[in-house]
Amino acid sequence: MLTGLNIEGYRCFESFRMEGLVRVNLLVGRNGAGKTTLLEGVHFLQSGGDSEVLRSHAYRRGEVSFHGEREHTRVNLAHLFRGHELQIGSRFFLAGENGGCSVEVSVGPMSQDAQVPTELIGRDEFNPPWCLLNISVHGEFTPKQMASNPNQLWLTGEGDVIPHVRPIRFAPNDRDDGPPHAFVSGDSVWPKSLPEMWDRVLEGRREAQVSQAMRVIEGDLEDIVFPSGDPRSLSRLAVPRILVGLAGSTRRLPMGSMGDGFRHFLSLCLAMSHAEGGCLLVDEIDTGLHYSVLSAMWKLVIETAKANNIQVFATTHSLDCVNGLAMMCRRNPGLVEQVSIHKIDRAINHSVNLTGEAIVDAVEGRIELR
Amino acid sequence: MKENAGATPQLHVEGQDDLHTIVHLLERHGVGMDDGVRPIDISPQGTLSNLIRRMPAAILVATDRPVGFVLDTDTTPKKRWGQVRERIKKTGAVAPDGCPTEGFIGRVPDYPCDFGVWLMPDCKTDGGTLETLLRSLVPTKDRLWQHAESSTGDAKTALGAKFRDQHQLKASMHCWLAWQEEPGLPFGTAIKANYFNDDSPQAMAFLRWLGKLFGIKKLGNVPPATT
Repeated sequence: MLTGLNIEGYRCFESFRMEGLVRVNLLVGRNGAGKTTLLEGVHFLQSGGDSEVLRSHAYRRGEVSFHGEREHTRVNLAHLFRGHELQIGSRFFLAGENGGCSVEVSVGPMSQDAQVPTELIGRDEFNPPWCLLNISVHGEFTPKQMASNPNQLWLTGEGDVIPHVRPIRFAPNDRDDGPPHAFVSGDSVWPKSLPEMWDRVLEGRREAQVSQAMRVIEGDLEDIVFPSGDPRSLSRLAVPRILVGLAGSTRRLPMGSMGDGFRHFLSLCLAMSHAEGGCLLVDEIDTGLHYSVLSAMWKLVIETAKANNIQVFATTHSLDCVNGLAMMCRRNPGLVEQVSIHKIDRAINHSVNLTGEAIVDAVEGRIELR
Repeated sequence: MKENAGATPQLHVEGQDDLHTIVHLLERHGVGMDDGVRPIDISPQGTLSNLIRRMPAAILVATDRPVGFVLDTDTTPKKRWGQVRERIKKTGAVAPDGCPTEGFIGRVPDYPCDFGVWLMPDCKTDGGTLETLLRSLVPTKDRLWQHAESSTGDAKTALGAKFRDQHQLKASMHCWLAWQEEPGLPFGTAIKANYFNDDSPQAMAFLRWLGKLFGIKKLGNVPPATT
């Protein structure tokens, strides 16, 4: 479990340090403070420097460009670096304390003898000179775990990823090697990941646990079903077709009828199930949830994280979410040591962290932690 | 690029009387304290021990805004400041041996904003409390005050009134308020009703500290301290 994190030159952070990381860590701070950036950084670190994680977060942020008559989408990685610019020698560095690894990402020149795929030669959008994005990983990840991850990406001078290795896949939660990790954004997990996560729930016979967890926000829930069907429908639907059975109802309803909070919470529950023994990252953890369920939500997250050896990083802007965490701590003294809040402000080069009892005391004193 | 708006700065005080006194004192000086316009949120901590205990956390999480603390001196400024100084040290900030008479304003290393401490009523009076500040705002030569003060003393010495000696001023204050046009108004409302003045040297020094710490422009007209 990470106890600390050091960052250099990554996105908005020139130099930043987090200490006092525990089982469940809630990141707070104003808009633009860098909370989501930190989540993504931890995700990249805990993935063992998986380039797919970098690319998927850039894509989710809309850091893309469009090329050609068919407007092919190219992920642009220049924004990973300070000043949103990329040049030979650009670098950033992430390092965890107490486990995990350190990752250095640097930009270097393309070697003279690089084999340029013939289909790319002469295409305007791939005008040379190109450069190399090198991902160097040091630490606990074994060569086997790293073998499936390309440790180099080809980039145009503007930072667009040149797809010479393999097509980009935008589902960073599906690695089979290394510690598991899952990222839930404010828009929930990548929709196509939900059925994959559900399959793993079925394999582990944990569907009853997921339903039980979902009753935190819907007490009448009886079951959740992912119907089989034409896999092509997945690509046409923003959200996969999921049916929900409620007590007293003769037919199951589409999950979309249950509201965004239900979908987000299901994503959270499935991601927790997926991240056993690994790392869970949740942006805007309270999305769509009424304040009255937030304490129960925290209890579920913390107990699940403790029982299944998951380290959780989450963000919020919500006072209700912070108060819900404090209420959970007050009601469950045995879980207090599992929790910390980290105030993020890049005006200073480190986070400010409060642990369980201090969180309760500060919230009782209406001290503004956000 | 303009920075995103952060949280409203907080002033942490002991109790509700401190809250309402400061709110109405500020409003008497033209500082709007309604929702949406007030420059600071005033947060009562319930007790002095809560306030002192929570100081380090409140200072450290205020990474992007000033934060202030108003405490009764109660004993001697030296003793109270000693407690405060120990809590300030936990933040990494440096505090002087004694509380400056213009109020303390300091900064945690690397932080862009200040934090401050004020000991009621003026950072130098032994046994000072909120009531000491309010006493300074009772109109001079107010005959009712003189009567309230002597009556309260007589009630204690001759009639066995049960308030403790250190609460003599508080008892006198409530006695005096009981004889106003609207009897028994709480401190803040009594300031709003103009039963109190708003410009004693102690009050002006306090407002200067508040204005400087939180950058309240409306308090820029408060005259500088005279030596």
